[in-house]
Amino acid sequence: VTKTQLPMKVTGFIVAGLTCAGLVVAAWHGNSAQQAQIASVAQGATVIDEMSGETFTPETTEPSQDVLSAEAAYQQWGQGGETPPPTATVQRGFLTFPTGTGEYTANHQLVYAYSWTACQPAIGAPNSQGSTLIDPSDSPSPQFCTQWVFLDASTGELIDMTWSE
Amino acid sequence: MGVDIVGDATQPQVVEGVSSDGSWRASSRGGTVFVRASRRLVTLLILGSMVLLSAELVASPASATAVDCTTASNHAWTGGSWFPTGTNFAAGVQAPIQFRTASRVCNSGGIGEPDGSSAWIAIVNGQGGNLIAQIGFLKLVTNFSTGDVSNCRFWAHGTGQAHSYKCGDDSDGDRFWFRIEALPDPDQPLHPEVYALEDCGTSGGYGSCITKDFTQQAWSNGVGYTLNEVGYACDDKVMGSSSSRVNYGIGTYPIKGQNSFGGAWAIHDWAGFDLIQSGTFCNHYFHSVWANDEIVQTWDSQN
Repeated sequence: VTKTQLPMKVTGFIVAGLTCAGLVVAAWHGNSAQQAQIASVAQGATVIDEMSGETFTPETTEPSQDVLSAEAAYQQWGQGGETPPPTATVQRGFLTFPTGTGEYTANHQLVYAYSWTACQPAIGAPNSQGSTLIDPSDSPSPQFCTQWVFLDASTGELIDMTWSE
Repeated sequence: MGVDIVGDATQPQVVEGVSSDGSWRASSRGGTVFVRASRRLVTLLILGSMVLLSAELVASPASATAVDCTTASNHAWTGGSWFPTGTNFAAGVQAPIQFRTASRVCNSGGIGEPDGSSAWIAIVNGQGGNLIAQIGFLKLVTNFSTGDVSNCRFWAHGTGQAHSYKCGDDSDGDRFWFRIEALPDPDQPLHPEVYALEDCGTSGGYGSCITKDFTQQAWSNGVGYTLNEVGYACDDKVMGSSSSRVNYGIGTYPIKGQNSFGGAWAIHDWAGFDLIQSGTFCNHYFHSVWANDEIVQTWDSQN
């Protein structure tokens, strides 16, 4: 690293940091007490569903397309008046969700990702003793579960709502 | 400003409230502040309150439809299962499911196990298996603060991770054709069978399906289910009422299955059951009625 390169690198970090901060602030314009807390934008992808290969990658640059605010997108999905839980975090980024057929439910689609602590409702088959066998929420404590809602950042359309541990 | 009107509107009124502009004459009775107002003022207050109430109702989101969950989570199911015999197994299950909005899901507040009411078809990896391929309808609380619920379609695979979609798009009585079909995966070596979880829409039949998932490798010991389920058996009601039931199969499209990979779609022997999780002691009102292994209707008589 030369003396001339160092300031440029530091400046680059500052610019990147400010850009990220700006994106996060821009992502949520609501003024309600129930509005979601802002998540820090993490680098790298989060695996949402390992079997499907569903991943979410937070955005680190300005969007190249018109987007709704995070609040507007959620309200669009909720048909007005809906807000995510007060404990929710929201990030903007890219969702990739293969179907396994070679096609995609979402292919690097720009979305808002709302997430909060909640386990999946148990939906499964009984055994002969009448206890559910297939129940992802049986084993983990709620604090280890995350509910995800992915909405198209431009339209507010629901792409996927799922739960991960 | 909150205002409560007390007494007969034709008589001199006692209005309990807070005056913001000082125009009311206030008096105190035993520590409680009262305002003795004229009939005209009361009329104005009533009209004003109605305006405020109307504005509040318009501005509020959808009203809560859930009650608090008062008991431990215990499941209940009504519907049926298909346990093929011999070397046969459930390789595919298909049925139209008629969705019903009538049901109640309690609000767990996000604490403990969340709640849900669902109607679906599935294949499980044998009796007592822990893997599932599943598709159908799911009603769940999506706003723990208000108890607001969403009606979604969903599918699940593996140990049961569910993916909900089209929440809010479907109406009471809508009938969707769903199919779980094991197909060879051309992209894998040896082309093993993989379950295609297919949403075939409302037009009727299985000619135009969207594969929602094709990642769950199929099992050679599959058993089939058509079930209507809730998570809090004592607080909840499964979908459907006695007059508007959840229907699996209809006359022209009965419930069918494949009893081998690539086998013919046919009617098989289904066993109906109404089951509540062991250890649960409360009355339940869910029902299922089968017609010749072709159609099952499920509902809760409290809806």
